[in-house]
Amino acid sequence: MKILVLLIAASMLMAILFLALFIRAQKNGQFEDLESPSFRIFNEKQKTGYNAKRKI
Amino acid sequence: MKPTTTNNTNTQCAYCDAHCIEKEVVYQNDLAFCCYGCATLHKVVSGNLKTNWTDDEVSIEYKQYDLPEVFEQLVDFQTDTQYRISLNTPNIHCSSCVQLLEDLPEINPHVFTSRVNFEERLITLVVHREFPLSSLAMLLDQLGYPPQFNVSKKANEKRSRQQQDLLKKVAVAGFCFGNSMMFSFPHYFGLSLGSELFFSNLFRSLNVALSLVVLAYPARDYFVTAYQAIKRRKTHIDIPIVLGALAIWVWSLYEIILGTGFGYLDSLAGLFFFLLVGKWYQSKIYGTITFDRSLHDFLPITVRKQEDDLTVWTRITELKKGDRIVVKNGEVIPVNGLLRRGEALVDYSFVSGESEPHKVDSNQPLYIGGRQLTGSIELEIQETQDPGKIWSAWKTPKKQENKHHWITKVSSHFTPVIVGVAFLSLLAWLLVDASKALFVFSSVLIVACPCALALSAPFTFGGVLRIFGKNGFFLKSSNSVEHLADVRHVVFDKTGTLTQQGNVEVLTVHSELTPEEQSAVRSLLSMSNHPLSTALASHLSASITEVSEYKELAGSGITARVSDYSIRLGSESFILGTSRRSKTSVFVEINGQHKASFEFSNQYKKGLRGLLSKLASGYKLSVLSGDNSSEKGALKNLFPGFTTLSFNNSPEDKKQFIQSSQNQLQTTLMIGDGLNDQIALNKSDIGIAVADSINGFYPSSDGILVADSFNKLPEFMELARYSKTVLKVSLAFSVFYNLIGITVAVIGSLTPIVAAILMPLSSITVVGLVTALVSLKAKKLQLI
Repeated sequence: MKILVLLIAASMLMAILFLALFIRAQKNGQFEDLESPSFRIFNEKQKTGYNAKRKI
Repeated sequence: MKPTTTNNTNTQCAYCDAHCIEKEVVYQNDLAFCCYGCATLHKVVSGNLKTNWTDDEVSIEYKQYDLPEVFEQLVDFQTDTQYRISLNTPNIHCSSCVQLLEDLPEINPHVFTSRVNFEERLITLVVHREFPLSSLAMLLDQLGYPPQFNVSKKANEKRSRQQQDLLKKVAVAGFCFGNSMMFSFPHYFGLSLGSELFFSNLFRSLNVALSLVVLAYPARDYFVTAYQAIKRRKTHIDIPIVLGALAIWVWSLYEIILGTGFGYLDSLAGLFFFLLVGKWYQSKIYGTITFDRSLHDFLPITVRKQEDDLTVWTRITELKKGDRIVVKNGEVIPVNGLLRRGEALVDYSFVSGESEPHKVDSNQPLYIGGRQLTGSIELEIQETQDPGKIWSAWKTPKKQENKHHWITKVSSHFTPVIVGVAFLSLLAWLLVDASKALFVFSSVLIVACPCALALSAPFTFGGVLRIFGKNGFFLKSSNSVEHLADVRHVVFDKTGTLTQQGNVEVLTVHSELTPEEQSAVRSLLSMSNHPLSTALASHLSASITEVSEYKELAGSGITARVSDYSIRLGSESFILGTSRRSKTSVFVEINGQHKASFEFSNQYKKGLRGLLSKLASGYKLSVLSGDNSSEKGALKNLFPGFTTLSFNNSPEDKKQFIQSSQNQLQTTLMIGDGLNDQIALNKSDIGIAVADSINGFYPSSDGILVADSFNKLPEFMELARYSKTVLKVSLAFSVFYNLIGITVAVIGSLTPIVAAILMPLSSITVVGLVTALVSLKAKKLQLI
């Protein structure tokens, strides 16, 4: 049963990792505009992904 | 050629093959397109799009943005070779729009990158320094996306920061809620305290840690508001939330420390998670409806400065003592100064509420915020301008919101009652069975938490505002939805509201005007901003010369002197003293001789009859007009019999009319064009300005209705009324739920854990209920 401690620690770590990833994505502006990327996918000429914004 | 928009059904777009929405079809060279984006893309593909403009071709409106001081305020940042700017372009509406705008670098090599934010209708561009901002604006304008320049960026930035902060809080609360629930599962499934004491302790400690995180970060704002409310001795809906949360927390901690139970810390995290999601949803909706309430955006940031014989656009803060500026008829005086040239009749009603215009003599001071009524004038500046002073002078007095939201009222009674009941049952149980006392106390507080109440209003009104916004109806605040629901009396302004704007047909009945006289008449007309003057001015074609002794008599006409001609122009009774014509007409008299007459055909908005017959069943209707009664017949025909029709109204008359309606305790809705009826809009319980585009500024209105959506007004009002019913249903649900919950809790047969499970469940039920009801109704009304 003591092995549960390891599992709990692992699950907490994963949860914290996901939370950190979410906050990072949010800081990068991924949630600012949820609609335009779906339109952008049709545009063949654009080679860059969402990182294009950071080039500026 | 400017593409024209017309009604049509069952048309396929010639560019993207999409099914065209009725009313939005754009025709260009006999081809149908679903939007301007597709029409322009077709133009781009076929290779005839203009990308360069000579100085003369650039519209004067855009030219002012090239001034270095203005430019610097507008751009995000600049280097020697390029600058970056974000522009609002409300016309973006489909994937073609995005594609076209993001392909700008291919259309014009001066544009380096282009990025669209669809949700905010925002385009961010990096442009070569050699390509001036005015040309960029012309380029976008030509493509069908006239940009809106926004100087008060800071307010928007602040809002988006708050929004991001909230999202982070939601994430952290969600994280704590989820994990806390995981650690509580063993308890739900009957892990007894004795058998696995190690794990039991571990789970409880982790839960305490998570609850501390919740209280310290996501819940912080609630505690701050509650604390401030208590400090100011006011009740606030956050107080019971905080009290309930604290009760759970303290009770849980008590249980955990004594080792008698698991506590209900997962419910605590869940409570804040759901509360924050509701708050986030609300602020997201407000973000979608970017509605500039500050005057900064409207303030004519540049003014016409007179330099010798030239008129130069200059930034207002750049004006120095001794500079002279020009203010045209109908314009608002931007700075304090002395009158040096022209005749000034100034309406200060916007500033002081006083409606009688002031006549100002030469060399007398004129004050900021007044509206010039008699032709062009020239002002001399007496002091260097302090921007802060200008801003503060421009602040509109806000409408007084003395009526507290009834939900806040209910909850202000709710809080003391619940706390009272909780304490009473605590006392009662102390006498009967002390071991159960605290248990009952926190059960009552938890189960009675008014969060269902707190959530239903933002979700209901938020949903309604969003549906309105999608249909081109923008309200400033959710309070307006309630006002709209209470409306009993609908008052329409005639010109510009019921009539089709910019679609007045002018018919020359007779004209003996020589070319010189025609030029004189047109010069006079160009100084006026009356719809008929504008229509007639564009009907005549002649050059413009100097005008003196200009005088506009509201509801009658204009008199002025142009070189040798003394011109009187206006209604039949004003010129001839008779009133025989049945149509809206304008007569011209030069040097005492009747020289010409013109007829105007008012075209009423399409679908007006349908709209009125829908409104007739539930509302009292009235029409106010500054015009003569020539349209009485036509209006009588359109409006149901009981409608009050009132003609020859001055702005003050319109205000009086609203006032008398309000005296009869009728909540009054005023719909106007936002220009000539500002006082009435301000006076009404809810004032809506009908506008062709949403970039106009209407300080005295509660909302803007895009002209195309005018016909949906009955549906909007119906939905507003319905939303109030929804709110009542959710209140009833909440009360019912609370009564049962509290009764069971007071009896002592509700464990705090069930209470804590029931609480977020009730919030979810309420939110689901109101959202579903509102969207069902909107679907029924064909608003979504």
